[in-house]
Amino acid sequence: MMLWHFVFWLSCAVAVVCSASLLFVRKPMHGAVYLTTAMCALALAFYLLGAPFIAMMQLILYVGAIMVLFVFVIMLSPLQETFPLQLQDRSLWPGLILLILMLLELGALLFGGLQVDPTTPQIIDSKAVGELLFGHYKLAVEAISTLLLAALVGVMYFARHLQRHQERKLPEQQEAK
Amino acid sequence: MSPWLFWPLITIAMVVVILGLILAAGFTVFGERRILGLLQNRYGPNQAGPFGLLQAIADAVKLLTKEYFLPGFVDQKLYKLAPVLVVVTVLLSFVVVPIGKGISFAADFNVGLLFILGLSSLHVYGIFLGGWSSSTKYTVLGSIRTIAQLISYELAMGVALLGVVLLSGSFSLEDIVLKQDIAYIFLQPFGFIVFFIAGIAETNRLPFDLPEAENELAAGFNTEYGGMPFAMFFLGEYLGIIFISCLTTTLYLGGWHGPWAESYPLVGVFWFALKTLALLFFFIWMRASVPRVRWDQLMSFGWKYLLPLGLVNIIATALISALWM
Repeated sequence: MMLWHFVFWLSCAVAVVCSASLLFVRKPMHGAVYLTTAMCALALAFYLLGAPFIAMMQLILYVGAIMVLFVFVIMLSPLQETFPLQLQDRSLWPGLILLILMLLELGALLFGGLQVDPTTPQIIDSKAVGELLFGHYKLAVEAISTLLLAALVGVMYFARHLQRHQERKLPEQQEAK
Repeated sequence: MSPWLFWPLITIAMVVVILGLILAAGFTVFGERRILGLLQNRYGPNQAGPFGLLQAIADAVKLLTKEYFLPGFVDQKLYKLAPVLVVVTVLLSFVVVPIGKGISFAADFNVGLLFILGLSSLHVYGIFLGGWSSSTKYTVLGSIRTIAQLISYELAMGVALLGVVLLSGSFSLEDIVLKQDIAYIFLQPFGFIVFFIAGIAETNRLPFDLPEAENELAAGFNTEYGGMPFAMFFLGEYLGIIFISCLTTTLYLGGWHGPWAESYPLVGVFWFALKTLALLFFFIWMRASVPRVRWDQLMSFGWKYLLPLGLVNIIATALISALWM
């Protein structure tokens, strides 16, 4: 149906425009909102390509968890200005070269006969995703979860250290008052 | 049906349902004020119309005719976006709820439950963008509290929902209701408790209404709003309560199941409404009887009791269904 073609390309355009505007915003919170919009648009594109489970995970995990943490940090940090992209900066060059290379690759893919047809997708349901994750990619899942556990333990160690530090400091501050 | 007939009909149906839901939210506010009055041994609003029934409409007219005022120090775009986001996401969530046998917009949506979770996280964006864009101390504090509360309780809610998904084997709300010959509240009592407590926290109701704690934060995240935008926040909150009640009914209380509901779908709608109204009453009852918890109590309760209880519930459900079912 024509309508779904239209919705698909519209969501792709929204994702690209939002990601591009992200580079040029002045306030960090606006950047976060742009990124969130891009994530929602990506979710829609995933859904129309026949991956409903991945689409919803995109919404729940990226919009609902990761972006929320970003926003939390932005709110708690006193810094209210960003440093928008400036082309004079020398350290930017390696990144720019990589970006151009990737764009070239993408162009080669798109014009080299890759066909994306959102109307007749192969639908991959949540069961298929689960079977692959805990069958074929079991080792990778286990490795990532161990890594995350290590990160969690590390954060708890630092937090505890910080807490003790603050407790030691508090009585002095009260005396100073 | 041809698409030329389908889309206009769907649009009309949506307009009717949205108007109905807004009216329902208005009357929930009225009902809350009357029931709170009853529980606190006073009258509540009883002057406008018989039993004060027209109070909801009087309030709506008052809010609509107020001046639209834009404070000079706000972040204009986000300030205007926030209330819209709050209302639209809740209204959209109702799309996947089946209110009777075969009566819904898209209850057979294959990832309906995940869709609701995704929309609820977007809903919270409305609340904290509203608070942040107002750029005053009280609203920002309310927003920070909202995010912390969301992170703690959304997880517990998702974990509790997994128990239902394990039993029914589907993310679609229609399938979940059809599978409930025994209502899941009997098979998943702990899951129900975790889900409902997390649901109260998600809708920012007492005892978890810290984002808008009146006696500490003026009015919390919506302090700088007035007139119509404030009304939209208000609407969003009450629609949220109605939605959590509908969802709890669908997932744990058997949805539209009840005597004669199989053969007459409209009777199913009646049972659904009855169960939802009972849960709504419970929300109001909680407001009248429970004091607000302290901030650190809220966090430690979420992480130390609710989440482990949910995890134990999943493991128990998985073991029992693997061994005996």
